[in-house]
Amino acid sequence: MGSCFAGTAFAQYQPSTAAEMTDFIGQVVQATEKKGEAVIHSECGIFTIRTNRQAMFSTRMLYPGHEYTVILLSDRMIPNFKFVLWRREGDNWVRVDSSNQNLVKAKNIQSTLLGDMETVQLQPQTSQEYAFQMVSISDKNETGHYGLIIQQRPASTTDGSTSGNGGQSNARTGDRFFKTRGYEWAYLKKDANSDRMLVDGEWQKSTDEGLFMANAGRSDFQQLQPTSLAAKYTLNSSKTQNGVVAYYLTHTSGIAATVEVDAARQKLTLWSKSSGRDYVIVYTVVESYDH
Amino acid sequence: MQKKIVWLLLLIAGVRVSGRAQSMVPVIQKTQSTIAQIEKDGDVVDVALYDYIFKDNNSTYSYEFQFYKTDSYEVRVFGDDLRTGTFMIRILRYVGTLWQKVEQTDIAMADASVTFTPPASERYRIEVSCGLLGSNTSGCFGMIIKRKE
Repeated sequence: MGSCFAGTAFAQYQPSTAAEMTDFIGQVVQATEKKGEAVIHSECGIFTIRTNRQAMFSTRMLYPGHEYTVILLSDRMIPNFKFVLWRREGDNWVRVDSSNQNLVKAKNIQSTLLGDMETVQLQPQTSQEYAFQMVSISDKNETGHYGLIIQQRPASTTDGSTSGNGGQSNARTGDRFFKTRGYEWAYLKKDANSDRMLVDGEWQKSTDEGLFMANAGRSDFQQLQPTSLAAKYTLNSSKTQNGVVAYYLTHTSGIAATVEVDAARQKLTLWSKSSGRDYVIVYTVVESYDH
Repeated sequence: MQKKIVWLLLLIAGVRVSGRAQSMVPVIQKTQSTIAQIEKDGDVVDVALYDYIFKDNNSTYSYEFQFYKTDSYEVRVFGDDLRTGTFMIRILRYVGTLWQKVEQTDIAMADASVTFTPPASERYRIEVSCGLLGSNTSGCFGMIIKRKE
């Protein structure tokens, strides 16, 4: 196998071979094609943490008129990684989405090969180069094999209204979309004296792109992007005051949430709770449009 | 059990029907014995990738990869035998503002290979070009980057 896989302190699992990972990828490709779908790129490689750079990336041109599902997976030597999607804009790489769903654990997938799996879906508006980056986020990760599979299907709409890197929504009449770029978030705590909600800790920032959809007629509100924050809500009611639209929501888990869209300040603000803690996320709105 | 996992992964990924004439499976299967032999010989498969060459893209595919000057490599390309003809492989290095050729195959072959010892540890571009057979506008291929141990 080579010196990459010398024995380590975390010798709980044996690393996969390239033959095993390629064989697994071949099975996924075969099953995909049997269903009448397309795989445009597949790849097996080594993710090494023997350098200071605990990340690797692969790139591919992707085109409008298609929806893509990018699957990134690892063997059991890499039990936890984050998938970051980048898009080349001129000389710069712009971060557009990320995924840390830990699907092998989350879906309770029993496998002697797989350590972690992440997926991202996107629908490019223009032909651009994308990078698919695997980032180590656990000190339990060791050098191992990764697999990358890019599935392709025709775009779900022809008018490009599900824009940006897309999502899983099939746009309907009455859908209003809010496209965002970048956000910051913080936990909140109630001040005992004033009863006001104050920031608890530090603001955290991200450059990930976001996409929201509101359809009052269908009582439907969804966060489509970034993938890591995708969520569905029931839109209970909405109110407009001084140009600010407030949506009063209930998440599928039953947790209440409020989203305010301030077009003048180009902000979309979401308040809700997670594990009993109040939090706020403030997104920068770059575009809003109706289907 | 593996087959069940594969189907479960497809459900999770949310794939839907699209339809495409070419299959990537034959090329993957074609490379599997080579991959197994490389590992049996004690060398390392740094990357095995599968993609398409398109006539509209000058029948050329580009891939960037980090090579290390302390290692020596072999880049091998396999066609699908139905649509792809002979291959040429070029390895380029970014110098100043241009990509410059560092290595290339001597002659075009159905399954081509080139050995490469990088002059520096950095990202290089591998260009694979291929003559497509008949009236085909695309063809599937596989590429293996072997690192010699």
